[in-house]
Amino acid sequence: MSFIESLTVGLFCMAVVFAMLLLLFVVISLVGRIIRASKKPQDEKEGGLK
Amino acid sequence: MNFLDSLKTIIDGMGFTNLAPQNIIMIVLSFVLLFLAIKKGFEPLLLLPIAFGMLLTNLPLGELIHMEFFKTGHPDFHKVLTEGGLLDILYLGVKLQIYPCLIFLGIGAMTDFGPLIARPSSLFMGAGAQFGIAVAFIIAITLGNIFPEMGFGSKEAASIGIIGGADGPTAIYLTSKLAPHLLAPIAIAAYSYMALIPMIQPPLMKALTTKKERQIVMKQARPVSKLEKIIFAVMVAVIVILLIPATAPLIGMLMLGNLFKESGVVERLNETAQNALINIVTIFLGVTVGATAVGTNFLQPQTLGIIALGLVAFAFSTVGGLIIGKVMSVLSGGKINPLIGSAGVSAVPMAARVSQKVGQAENPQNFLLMHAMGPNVAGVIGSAVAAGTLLSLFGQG
Repeated sequence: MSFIESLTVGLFCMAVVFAMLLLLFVVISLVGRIIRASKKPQDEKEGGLK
Repeated sequence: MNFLDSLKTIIDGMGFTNLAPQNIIMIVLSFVLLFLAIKKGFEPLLLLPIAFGMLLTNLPLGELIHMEFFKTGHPDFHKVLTEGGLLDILYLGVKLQIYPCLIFLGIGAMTDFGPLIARPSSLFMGAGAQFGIAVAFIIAITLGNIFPEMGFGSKEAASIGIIGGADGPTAIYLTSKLAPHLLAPIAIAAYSYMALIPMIQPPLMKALTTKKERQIVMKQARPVSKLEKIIFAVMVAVIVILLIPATAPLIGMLMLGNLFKESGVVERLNETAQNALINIVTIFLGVTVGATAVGTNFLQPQTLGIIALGLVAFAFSTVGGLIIGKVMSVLSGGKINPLIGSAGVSAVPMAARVSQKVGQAENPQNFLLMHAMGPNVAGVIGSAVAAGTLLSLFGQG
């Protein structure tokens, strides 16, 4: 394997890691927001009852 | 047969008359590792069994392990079962990649992904801290081209590079798949450098950050609900394995262990995974990996190359994590302390503790440990993804 090929593989590997973790970042952020948003009305409701 | 002949036979059958110089060097090396584990407390859980396995295997005529049974792509099961010693049988767990996956199960059961879920941007630091894998891979290939006698092809270079992930089980998993003949030096380099993280990282952390940056106090992260943690475990397994199937054994077991912990309904399984199971597997893994370090195979020029490249990989991974940490510090308007970036190397929780220690040295009121745990556990996922990618690229043929 030549130097250029190894450079390409190294960069590709890093790109895959970043892309995968970026995807997880987006999904985790979205799920977190949805869960917190769905909990809020209930909390407010409980607060109102008190 | 007279008495003298009998005496000669007995003496010839003793180990010390069969000691080769390489065995003696390896025995001395095992004493050094035992000293580091027992006296200095460097990763003793793994370094001690590795060192003792190394000692046992270099005492001649013990016949504990026969590496020739494992030379080909698949273990010679018939020979292992009929002629093998104790460590031959146990080594099957390494050769068949069972131990690293079971260790990941235990790690998953012990890990709280809460800090990562609370601050998902930690994932970028976990990704940046895999930089050393790429750098070490490129250097290993270049070295292999310049010095063909080193025998560093693409599979060997990938196995050496993964040392930069700072994740012992992942390094063992990938190496036993791609370059099993390099398993001993790579495992020993990976665990030795993990033990030396408190010495390797701080100079780089101080060199790449300003005093002002190191003093940044981070706001407490939000609490994370049980539901979020359960969804996280299932979701990460599904997404990562669907996209990179080669990560299935590692990520699958990691997230199963984490689900044991977070679900709260299988306390017995959780207890077993994070205590008895991981302890038993650690003993088997440590002793057998150490036992593969037979002097005649281990003391080769390429071992020195691996040890040197392992250090390069660790250093560049730390640098990669710190650079991303600095970028995020700037983007967040100075709310993120870049020191937590170095914890992106996945040595859990050692690297996070180093971030805490260096941060607190600058500002005694600074508590970075929980903030650093985010990039730290992200690094575990990142190194498994990197290993899966390398396995997908080089695992065929």
